[in-house]
Amino acid sequence: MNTESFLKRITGKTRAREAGVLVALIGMLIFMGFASPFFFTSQNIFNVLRNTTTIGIIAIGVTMVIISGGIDLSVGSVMAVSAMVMARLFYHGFGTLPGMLMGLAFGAFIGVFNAVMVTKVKLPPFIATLGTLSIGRGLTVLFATGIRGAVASNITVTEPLVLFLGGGYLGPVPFPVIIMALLYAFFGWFLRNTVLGRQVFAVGSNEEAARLSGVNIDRVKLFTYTATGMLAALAGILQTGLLSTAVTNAGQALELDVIAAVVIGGASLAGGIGSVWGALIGASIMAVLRNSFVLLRLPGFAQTISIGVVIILAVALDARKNTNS
Amino acid sequence: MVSLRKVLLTVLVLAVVAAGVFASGRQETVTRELPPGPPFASAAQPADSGSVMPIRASDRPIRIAVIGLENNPFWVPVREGAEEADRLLRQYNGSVDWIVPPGDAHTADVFGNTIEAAITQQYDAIATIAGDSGIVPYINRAVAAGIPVATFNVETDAENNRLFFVGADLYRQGLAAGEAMADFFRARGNTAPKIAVMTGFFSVEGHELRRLGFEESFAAAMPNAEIVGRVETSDSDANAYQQAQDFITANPNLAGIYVAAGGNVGAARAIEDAGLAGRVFVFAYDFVEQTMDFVRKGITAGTIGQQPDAQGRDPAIRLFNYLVAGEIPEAGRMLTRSDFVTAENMADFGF
Repeated sequence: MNTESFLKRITGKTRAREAGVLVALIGMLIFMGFASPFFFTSQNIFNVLRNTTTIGIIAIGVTMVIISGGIDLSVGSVMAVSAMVMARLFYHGFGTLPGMLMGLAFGAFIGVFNAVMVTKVKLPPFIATLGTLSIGRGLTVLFATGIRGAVASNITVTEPLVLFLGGGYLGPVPFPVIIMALLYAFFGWFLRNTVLGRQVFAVGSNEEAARLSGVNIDRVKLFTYTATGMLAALAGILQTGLLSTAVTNAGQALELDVIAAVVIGGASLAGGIGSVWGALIGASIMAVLRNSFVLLRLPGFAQTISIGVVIILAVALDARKNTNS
Repeated sequence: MVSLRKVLLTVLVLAVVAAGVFASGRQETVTRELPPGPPFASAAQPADSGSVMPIRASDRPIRIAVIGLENNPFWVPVREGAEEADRLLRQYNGSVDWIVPPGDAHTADVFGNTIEAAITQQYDAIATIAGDSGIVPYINRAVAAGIPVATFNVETDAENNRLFFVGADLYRQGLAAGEAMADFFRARGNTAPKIAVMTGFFSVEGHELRRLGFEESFAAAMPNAEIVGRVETSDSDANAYQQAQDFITANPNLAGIYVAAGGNVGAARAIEDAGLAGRVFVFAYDFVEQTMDFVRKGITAGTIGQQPDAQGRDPAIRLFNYLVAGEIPEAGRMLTRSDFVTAENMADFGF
């Protein structure tokens, strides 16, 4: 079997998975359209889309990490610490663009650190990123400390550009939704049409075979973890703009929601299979679920249960499909 | 060659023997008998809450450990209160060490080890957060070693040997919030407002006490009001923002959002972004800077405090008075004030 047909087979399998969850999402949308008169109002649709952006943007990176056979548990902390670095720099008089760039660079730096731990120190990705999850959370508190006394404080952000990026609109469309759409368009194209993008699949499918084919495994992993760090930082900056505050507890337990979205979207935790579009569908399913519970006045605890049920159903159906094929 | 397994086994055996020797030595050193405190569940709101003073100087140096958290802005005034107690007690031959255990939660796994360390360091008294019943053995161990313990901010219902508690009665805070919200809407001529309820976590007892207290008093004061939903924010402003948007969408005539724990800033921001300032109001807790910004704007109708400075200050000074003068606090639960701060009266509270 040559590389081309191997990748085609993976691509075909990925599309089948995407189609399955897309049908589930459409089913939910139809149900909600009947169940709540408010669901298909433009205001609500844009709310749901905006609420998809934090998980959706980070899910792009985590999808690539998972396709390459890794996992990244640090994204929630990276999101928080990058936003806090930015806010702290603003607090000390940095300009808007330098502050934002430093926030993004900090996220990228943690991504590089994760990659080095995985590729050079040979730590399992689960352990390496579990470590940076904790380090990132601690650094968030450190960077938030000293604004008022010696205790960590949330930092108010007033820079108009940051507020616009996170909370502004272009016409009726929330700006983070536009940023997310552009990112999906780019990474969707990138993964299918560039050498590095296809190498991400090759590494996750069979790392040894990819190595023998001349793929630079370390470079691929460095790319996936660094991109994920930057995307998490971007999500943190957007959320800070939305709330006009960098908060110490931003992104807590977010990594689980992101991984859930990626898995619901059809990515295999064993690596080699997945797509960013699937992750977007997964993130949308979670956002619609959360929206539905408020619109339908259902008890809050049922929301948490339902997300767990959806994850189990998605993975179980996927496993059954694999067995049958 | 000696195997690694044998070396580890030897080290383990030596460690156990050493621990046994030291532990048995420590058990013999009970330092003093402590006079009994007030009944565990008795409650009072002391007139000197936040302003209690040392009674007299001690003959010997008194060291008090105050074990708190520093993971969010709520703790800024708590720490400041503990530092003020330290400044005061130094004039009376006492001192206070503010100690933050490694960890991010109110739970016993975070606080237990630090209480044990404080016992080992032979502090004269300990004030600690007591978030769950797992903390009880640690408190009782300190008291058995002759070290009086006070709890503050939150404490478990499980009875233990602590001397007293300083903090808010969260259920009463909820009752106060319900009455304040009912008064607010009645004054605006709205006797049947639609309200959304947000809590931090349904699984956190303190959050539930606030929520249930609120719902009880609000329903009694405003029987025609409707609660359109109850959600948990996970103490996250980002989650609260999304949920507030959803409530606004589903209930075009929503009048208010009650936030029992973290998330009030996100809810207020969602109301502001929706252009509903002056039509939908948030009711919140605590005096965090960003919350007060929204109180100033009138989007947050009011916020209920719990005297965080007193929670850091009073336990240390009351423990000092107990040790030097045998003064016993008037009740087991020394409740802090639940001031309702609005845009109109915030200047009176120093904002």
